[in-house]
Amino acid sequence: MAGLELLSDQGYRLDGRKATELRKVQARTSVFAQADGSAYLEQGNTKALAVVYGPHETRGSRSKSLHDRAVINCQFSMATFSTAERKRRPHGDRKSSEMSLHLKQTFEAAVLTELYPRSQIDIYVKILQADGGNYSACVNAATLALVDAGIPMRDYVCACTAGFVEDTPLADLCHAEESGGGTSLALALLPRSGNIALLQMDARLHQDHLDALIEAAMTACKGLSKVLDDVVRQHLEEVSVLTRD
Amino acid sequence: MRDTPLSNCERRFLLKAIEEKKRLDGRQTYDYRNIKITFGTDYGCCIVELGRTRVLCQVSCELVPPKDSRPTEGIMFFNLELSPMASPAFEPNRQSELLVMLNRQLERCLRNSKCIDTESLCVVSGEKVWQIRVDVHVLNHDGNLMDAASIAAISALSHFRRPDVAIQGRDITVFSPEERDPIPLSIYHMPICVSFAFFLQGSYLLVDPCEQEERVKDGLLVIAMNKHREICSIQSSGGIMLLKDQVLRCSKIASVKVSEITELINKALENDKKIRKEGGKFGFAESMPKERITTLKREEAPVEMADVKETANEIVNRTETPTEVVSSPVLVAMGTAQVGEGIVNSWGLDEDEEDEPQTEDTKTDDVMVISDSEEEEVVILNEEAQKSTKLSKRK
Amino acid sequence: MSPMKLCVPGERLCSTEDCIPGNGTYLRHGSIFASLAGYVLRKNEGEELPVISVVRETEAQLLPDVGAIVTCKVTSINPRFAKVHILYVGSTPLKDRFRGTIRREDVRATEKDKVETYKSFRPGDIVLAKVISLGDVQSNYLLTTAENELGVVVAHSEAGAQMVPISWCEMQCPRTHAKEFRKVARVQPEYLQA
Repeated sequence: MAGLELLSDQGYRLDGRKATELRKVQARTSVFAQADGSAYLEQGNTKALAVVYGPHETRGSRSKSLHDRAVINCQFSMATFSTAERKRRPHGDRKSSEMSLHLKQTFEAAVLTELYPRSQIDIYVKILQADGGNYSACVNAATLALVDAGIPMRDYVCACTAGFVEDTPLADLCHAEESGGGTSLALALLPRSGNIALLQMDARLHQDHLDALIEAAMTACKGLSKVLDDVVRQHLEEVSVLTRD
Repeated sequence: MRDTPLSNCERRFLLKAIEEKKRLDGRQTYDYRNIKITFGTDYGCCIVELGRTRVLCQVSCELVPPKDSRPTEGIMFFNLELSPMASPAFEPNRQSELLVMLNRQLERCLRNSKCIDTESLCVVSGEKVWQIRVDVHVLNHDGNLMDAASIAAISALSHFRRPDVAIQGRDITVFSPEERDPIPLSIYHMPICVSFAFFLQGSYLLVDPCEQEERVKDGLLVIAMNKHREICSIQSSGGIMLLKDQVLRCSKIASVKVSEITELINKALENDKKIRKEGGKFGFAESMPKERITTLKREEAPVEMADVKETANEIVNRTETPTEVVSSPVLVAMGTAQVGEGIVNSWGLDEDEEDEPQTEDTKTDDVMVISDSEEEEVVILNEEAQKSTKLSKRK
Repeated sequence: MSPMKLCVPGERLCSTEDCIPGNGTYLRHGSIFASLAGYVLRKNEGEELPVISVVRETEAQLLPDVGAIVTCKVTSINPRFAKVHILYVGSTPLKDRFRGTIRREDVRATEKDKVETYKSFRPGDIVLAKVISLGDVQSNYLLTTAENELGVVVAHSEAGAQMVPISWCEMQCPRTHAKEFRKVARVQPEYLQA
């Protein structure tokens, strides 16, 4: 941690942002033609791709299907070229399994699965470039893909990371800030109702700062939801213009 | 083999009880079960019992070359195994979701919080460092494996002693425990996980759920804290929707619980140290009480004795007095006697059964046949003797 | 066309007192929220309240529901049942095929025990059927053709030509004039092409 100042005296971070500034978010939906829904999202330098298939009949063992709602099947993987060192095991290791499990639980809460009994919805997410905030980029990309596929959801699911340095909460951490050893909190939020779908925090933080940290993460998520909203509306307008003429 | 599914009535019963703030074993919402920590004969081995959940943890170490990215730090390796003896639902060699979740949470709680000073584990920078391996085995599953595992891990790490090393130039000599006393690990703080289970769409929460409560839960929130009120990790799972003040409230409850548990761990460590110094016997075998019937054992169940006296008096006053009871046995025939009065036989066939049970007035001649079987003929033995006894009684 | 309003999932459309929730919406705390991204459509049914729904250009995947009329293709037959692939639900094509089963006793409404599947369906036939059950863990969708309007619509003879229906249980090949047994659907004359 020596030499890297996460927050300078003037309040600037390593990449020149202010404490509560988010990185630049760019996204596109319907990038794949054959999938039911797909989205590509860039959050700063983190690039994530999400593809949704479904709802369709439960493949494989029929015993996995639930009689009253759909099963959501998630797979999270990182491309071998996504990190500085080549990843030898893109999926199947514990971290990826845990992330897949969390994604599955997050979306099971957000998608109206009761409308599709005995069927399966597949969500595949891949990180093409990892620069901090992997989980958040996945959740955001998967949300866009689900909206693109026309699967009914309660609300958008937006996720963002937040950190804490010298009594100031930072929003949207990059890789250097995450691995610097300070606190990092990942939060998935349904912005309109303010419900937290997933909360994950590592590294030490005093209990009194928890409130401020969660607040910062929630504000960042709400800001992010506006960006996603714009992307979806723009896409809808584009499509409608094409079909009207 | 698969676990028996929970029936709908059990589920409803549990949820209804939780709504009324009652738990199966009579605990309050924020109460933990009894925690018992025992250490083994070797350093670094400990068993934690949380109610009936039992977890064993063993810490060991070996010299290995360090990771390229961190040449001056030791390596910590965590492994949690769900042994099939813990529950019929656990199958060997099966990577289940629970296993992944527990492992990751344990890693996050202990490794990312930097509770152990890894730099002190370095022997020769870039060549040899200590790798500390923490193995946790679940022996019995009765709910809340996460908390028990974290308590066991941190207790075992605090108890562990690694061998002493001496470096002379390029030679490393590792001393065995007999040559030089082993050194304890330097632990900065003790992170302990506290689990909160949410029910009924997040309206109710319970601390330390037992196994049946875990089955009906909606989701789980695990907060790892140390006694200095620093949060080491938070993890919410199960897809529940939380509100920010719920999380803050849980963290406050967790801080109280963690300080209690940390005291317990310290006390147990102190006890063990004292016993070892005094030369007394220690280890698992000693911690199990001998000469005690271990089967047919029932734990004490707390009974509400609030107004027992008043309720009892009420019941007594309300009931009617029982009929007169003749306490002395009445000899009916040789070899049979009667104590008390029986009720009138209502199996009755409508014959002339004026079953006035034995009074000396009626039927002194015959022996009272107290059987309502018509088929068998009751043979009365020893008629003369009976007749003589009857005559003698009359006198 | 008047510009319709765009909406995104989670957006509050109106309260339950103004409208009845339709497709693509859900209820929460007395208000109607959108669950799809699309255009808001308010339809007046003539009853008290209009129905509010969200429409998209590309229809989302429809699942066969109990009571729906489906068009399927027979893949294999068996003395006890016939296995089919469900291709259309109503008039919407499905992107993925679903599997279905037509049991022997569900082929006809009368004389159920005298049914022979070999004389009712053949592999490759297009059949109109109705869904009676979503099936449980073991089985697929259960279908029935036990009505006059349900049954084989298009079938090819052993010679390879498309056959013409003669009666409710026979079809004739126009080339070889051979008759083959099928359980034929009584399609309305206006839908029949020459």
